[in-house]
Amino acid sequence: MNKIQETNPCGRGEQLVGYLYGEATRDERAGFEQHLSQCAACRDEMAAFTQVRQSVGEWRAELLTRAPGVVAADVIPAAAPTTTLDAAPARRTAWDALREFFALSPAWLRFGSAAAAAVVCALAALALFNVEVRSENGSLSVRTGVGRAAPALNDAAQPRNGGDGGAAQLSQLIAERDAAVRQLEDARAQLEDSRAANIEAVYNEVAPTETEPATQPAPAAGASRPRRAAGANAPRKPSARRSPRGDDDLPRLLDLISGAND
Amino acid sequence: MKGTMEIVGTSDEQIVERAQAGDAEAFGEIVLRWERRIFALAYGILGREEDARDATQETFTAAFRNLSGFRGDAKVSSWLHRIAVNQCITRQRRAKVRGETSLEAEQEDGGAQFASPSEARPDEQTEGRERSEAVRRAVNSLPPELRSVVVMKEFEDLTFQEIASALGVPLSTVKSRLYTALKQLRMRLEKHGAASAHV
Repeated sequence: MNKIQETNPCGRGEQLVGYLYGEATRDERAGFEQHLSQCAACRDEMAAFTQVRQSVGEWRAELLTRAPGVVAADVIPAAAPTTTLDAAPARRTAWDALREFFALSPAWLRFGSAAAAAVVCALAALALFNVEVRSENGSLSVRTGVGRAAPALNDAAQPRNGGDGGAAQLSQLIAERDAAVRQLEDARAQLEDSRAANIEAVYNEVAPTETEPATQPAPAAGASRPRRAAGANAPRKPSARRSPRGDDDLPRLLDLISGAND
Repeated sequence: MKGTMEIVGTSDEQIVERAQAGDAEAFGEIVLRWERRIFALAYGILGREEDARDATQETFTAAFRNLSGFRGDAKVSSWLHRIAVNQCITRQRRAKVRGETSLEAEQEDGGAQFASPSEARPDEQTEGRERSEAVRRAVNSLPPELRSVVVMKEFEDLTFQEIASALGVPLSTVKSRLYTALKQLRMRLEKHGAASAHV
């Protein structure tokens, strides 16, 4: 600070600025005015400082006219409600966000998303338009059309021999079903015959035991026969019975025995 | 700003009372009334438009945050100027610590754009503007401690005692700094010929 310290030639620098700015007391002012009347250097300095003050004042006036304003909202957030409240930003919906997302996405992502959406929509349409609901044995089953549509699509992909390919296939399926039914009926008939043969054989074996002594040995092929014969007199338990339908169709052993006795 | 018309004829102190009661818009009126003077003061002290703008904003922000601290013992203008001066002094100290470029070097390159007459055509550059530019350069070339004193006195007409309180220096130091500042300004302006134009 001492390096920049300027001194008044008369050593009255502080008195000079006090007088210049009007902050001198009455006695200080009177004493300095008396000195000014006698000191040309101080009068020169007073005049020069007055000119400096005038120049600084002009600069300040120019600053005030050209000074940029401060945005009050930057200082006081709550002081700018007229713009923020009146022009409140609209609430963004999920759709807006989605649109913005795709607008900012690369092209490959947009096309890929569109293709995936198309596949999903197609599957959903198949599921909805070809759905099948069944109620069997008190249970409810739902079958979507996707599972059934897949074979149909596969069939459609195969080459067809004319326009009646589907009808021919249906006829073939019906014929196969009829053949299976016939085979089933033949098997059942053979089973009935074999049952009747067995019963007759048992009857033939049991009938002599009623007339012949019990010491006669049983045939070797009928290892289970003695048990069935022994159990014939025992009361039948319901759980031991076969299917009711089959038993009703077959003649009962006791009836056969009684018929033979008659 | 809403409500500005209602408080046109209201004093600063009354407006601050309303702001203290929770009317934030009332403080906006204070900002409108004093922003240019605070900016001019900050620019005079700091010498850079960007710094002055930041200091002005920080001044009003600090004032708004400390509204409850204003008790009406002093004028609102004095209160704001004291805050502004403190902001500027703090900035000066930070700049000194960081060793930023001196104002003299910056001003030689044409420094502040808003204060320079470069926007106007040459034929519109009046003699007064040339003189103002010379004063700007002269003031900005002063050391910060001298510049602060002369700006606080010339721009805001603070008393010696107010300046001494703001800067935390003795009253005699304020007077001696002011005398030194005026003498250096005289020398610079006479060298440029600005001051002599008034003579």
